Amino acid sequence: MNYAYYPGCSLESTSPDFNESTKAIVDFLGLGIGELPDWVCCGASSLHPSDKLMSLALPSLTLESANKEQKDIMVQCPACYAHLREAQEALSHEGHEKDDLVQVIGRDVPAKMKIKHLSEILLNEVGIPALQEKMVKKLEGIKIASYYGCVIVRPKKLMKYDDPENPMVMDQLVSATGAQSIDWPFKTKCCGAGYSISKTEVTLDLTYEILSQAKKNGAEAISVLCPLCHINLDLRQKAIEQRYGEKFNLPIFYYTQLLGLSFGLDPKKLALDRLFVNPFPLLKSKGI
Amino acid sequence: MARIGVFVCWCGSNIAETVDVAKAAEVIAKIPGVVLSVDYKYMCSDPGQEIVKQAIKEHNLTGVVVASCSPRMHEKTFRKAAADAGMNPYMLEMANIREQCSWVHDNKKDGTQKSIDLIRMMVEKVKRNKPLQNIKIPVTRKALVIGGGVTGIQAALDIAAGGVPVILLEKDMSIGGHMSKLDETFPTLDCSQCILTPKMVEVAQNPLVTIMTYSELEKLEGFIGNFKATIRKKARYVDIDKCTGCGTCWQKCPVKVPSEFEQGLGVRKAIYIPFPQAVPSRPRIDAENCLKLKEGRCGICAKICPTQCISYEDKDVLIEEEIGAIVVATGYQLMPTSAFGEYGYGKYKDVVTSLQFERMVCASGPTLGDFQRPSDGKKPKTVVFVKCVGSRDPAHYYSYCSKICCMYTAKQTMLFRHKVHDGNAYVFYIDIRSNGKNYEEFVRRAQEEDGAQYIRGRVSAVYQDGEDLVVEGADTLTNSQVKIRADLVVLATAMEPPKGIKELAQKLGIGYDQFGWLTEAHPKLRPVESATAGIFLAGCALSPRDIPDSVSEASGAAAKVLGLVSKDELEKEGVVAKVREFSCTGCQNCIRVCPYTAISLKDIRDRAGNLIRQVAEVNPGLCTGCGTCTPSCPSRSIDLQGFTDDELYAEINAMAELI
Repeated sequence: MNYAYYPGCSLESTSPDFNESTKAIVDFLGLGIGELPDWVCCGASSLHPSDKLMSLALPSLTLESANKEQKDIMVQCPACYAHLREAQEALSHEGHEKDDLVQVIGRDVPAKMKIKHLSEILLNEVGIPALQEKMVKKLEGIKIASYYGCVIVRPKKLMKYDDPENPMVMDQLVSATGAQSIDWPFKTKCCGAGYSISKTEVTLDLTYEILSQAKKNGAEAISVLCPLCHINLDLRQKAIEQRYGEKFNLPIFYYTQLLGLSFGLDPKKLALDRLFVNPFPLLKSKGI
Repeated sequence: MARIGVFVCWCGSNIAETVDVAKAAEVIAKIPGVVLSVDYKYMCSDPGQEIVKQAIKEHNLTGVVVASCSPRMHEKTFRKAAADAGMNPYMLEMANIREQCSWVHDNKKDGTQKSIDLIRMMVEKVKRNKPLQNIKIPVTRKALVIGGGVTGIQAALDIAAGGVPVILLEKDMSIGGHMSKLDETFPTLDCSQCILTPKMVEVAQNPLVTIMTYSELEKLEGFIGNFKATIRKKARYVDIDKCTGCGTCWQKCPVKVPSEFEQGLGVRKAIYIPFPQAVPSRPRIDAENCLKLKEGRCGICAKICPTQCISYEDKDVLIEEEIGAIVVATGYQLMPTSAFGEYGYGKYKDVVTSLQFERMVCASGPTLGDFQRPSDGKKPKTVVFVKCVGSRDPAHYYSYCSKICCMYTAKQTMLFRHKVHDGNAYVFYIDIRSNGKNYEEFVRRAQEEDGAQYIRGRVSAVYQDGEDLVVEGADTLTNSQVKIRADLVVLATAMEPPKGIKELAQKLGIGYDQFGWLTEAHPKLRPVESATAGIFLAGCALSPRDIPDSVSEASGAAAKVLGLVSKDELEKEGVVAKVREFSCTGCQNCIRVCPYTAISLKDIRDRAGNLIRQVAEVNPGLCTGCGTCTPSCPSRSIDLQGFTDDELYAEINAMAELI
């Protein structure tokens, strides 16, 4: 394992809870994954529809940093993951796109490094048995819906993450903690993503359905792996409840927080106190 | 010494307007070896041909060049005239000064010069031509039809109607194919069984037809008119000649397995017939599920069989048959639905394929036509039909249109409404393709009389919500999102080539496309022929087709077979490749490039029978004279007769005025 951590802008700004819980479990597991020096914003959701070439060039610079450090890249934000992989694809195939890219960066960037989401690394490289060895607390009796969002699985050919219709990576990690991972149909539904700010009502409609489906299928909490999904489900949950007159009270965890809990890490270190939907009553009721 | 006669045609004004024919004849007359060079208004007319015949006799000509139209037009005419005058027809060549000269030029000076060049080239070629003989091939008067669906059945019946014996080969245990599984058929809504079963019986009773079920082609050797087919009769564990089809065995068999014929909606036994009207109405034992064959216990069927026709020791048998012509009618299969996670097939019991829907409404289906959904037996009130599942989707699955789904979906909405009068049928579609006789009217009827609601757009997801399925999709006409709560979802999954088709095509030496559909010799003008002589194609083996098209093609292919076997011998042109054995090194380059598998290795032995070396040998029956082999030969030991290197170089040198 030879990864460097690329947090991206979201984890540095809007989602410090994801960032902190990530660092906490990576350190706890002793994976030796430090932050990648000189990383650059991936272009996020605003650049790729407005300037395709620039949206490839920015992540290419991050790939170059990884080359300098001779590291593979570990990512948490699915949008960062997508953009890094797009740049990698563009740099790996001869053609006009690569020519333009090389011209705008000023040099060729070999892109043979691995780019992986932490959930994949934990499942496939660390492995469930190794994780369970370090678990001190069973999250038994808590029913959790794993919600992946739309970005991490699509397009399948680019992301190569898991089955886009029924991914199981996070479900397996959640189950490993002793929690009950429920089967439900909205694992990869869109949460409204960027409409959160420009057309909030679209996001509210979509997230309402996600929360309803999770609840209908028996979920007591939701586990996510995308900072934007988290904002839309957690930060906006009160607004959703007001708009539809329905109480959900579904805590929205990052999967890293759930793993951290099972490792017996301090809830404060996992930034559980930063969540908008207070998770402590639920955890308490389950004796966690 | 060559004595060449040249005949320049005016073709009325067609040639004469752009070519000074008299001058051309005059210039050509000066070429050494040309003893006669004349022009005439219409060489192809009777008097024109008479001039050629007379000249051959009077001037004792060794070769003739007719400078006129394309050889495609009149080579046969003039070669026949030459043969009538006692000359080997291959000693006559045509110089095309019409299509390739006068018709494409308007300057008479240049036209004349070009025609002189063209004629001179052919004169030099004809000087080097060798007499060739046509090749005669004997023909076996027996046909093999591969595939026992409606296409194969029709082909077998039509071939037998021409008095020719035919073997109908079917890999499953009964003939009937997909059509036997359908309920009613578009656009007339006549019952599929009612129109197919009589044909199945007719073909079974025809004394000229031998039906071989549960059998597959193992190997094919030989060539047009002279194929040798090896057929594998798979172990059935039942002697179908002794069996009377009484049914005692399958009534008593204790093992229940999902029925393939019922698309998994019903059950069958381990010894079974697939459906009551099966032909032959004889069971087989499914070795994977039979307790006796798997674990050595039970054995009840053999004990109770009144005719003792069950043998657990049955083995595959190989049979060899001499065959003159073959029809490939291997049909299709539906794409495996496991690919469509977004539609929840396999996850939700009430998401079914169109073929499962047919069994659900069919009077002979597992519910005897009582329309129930698989999960709880409830009668569905709202059904959503999704078209183009896997078809027209180059990003994920198949780029082609499966052709029949528009029509059968319209039909299925009708069948549904005829079962559930107040039901709602929704159809998601990309386009409605109803271009057959009475097809458009049929779709209109589904919409206007039976109330099917068509929504233009694709479905993005199907999921379970309580007892209902929720179908989410787009309506691209109103630019809105649609959400329908349904009791049943029917997927019109793509048709794809059946499993094993590529291996079969390789055995037959015929082509297939990137998907595995078999390739016709010409998509418009030779639609039922493969590129391999003597092998014909029909129905869905070529690409998705409906029943009328498949049946028409079956009759077309049968006509081709009858035409082929109507003569005792086939005659084909002598333009085939020939190997110079003394210089051939046996490198096999030509064998690898030959598209018709016409070349093989031959042993050269001394008098004591010791192998000295191996050389290439051309089977003139298979060779089409395409010439692919000749440039592949490093020692120039293979040549196409009628177009030898010597002859072609002479033409080229003449063009360059090197001769």
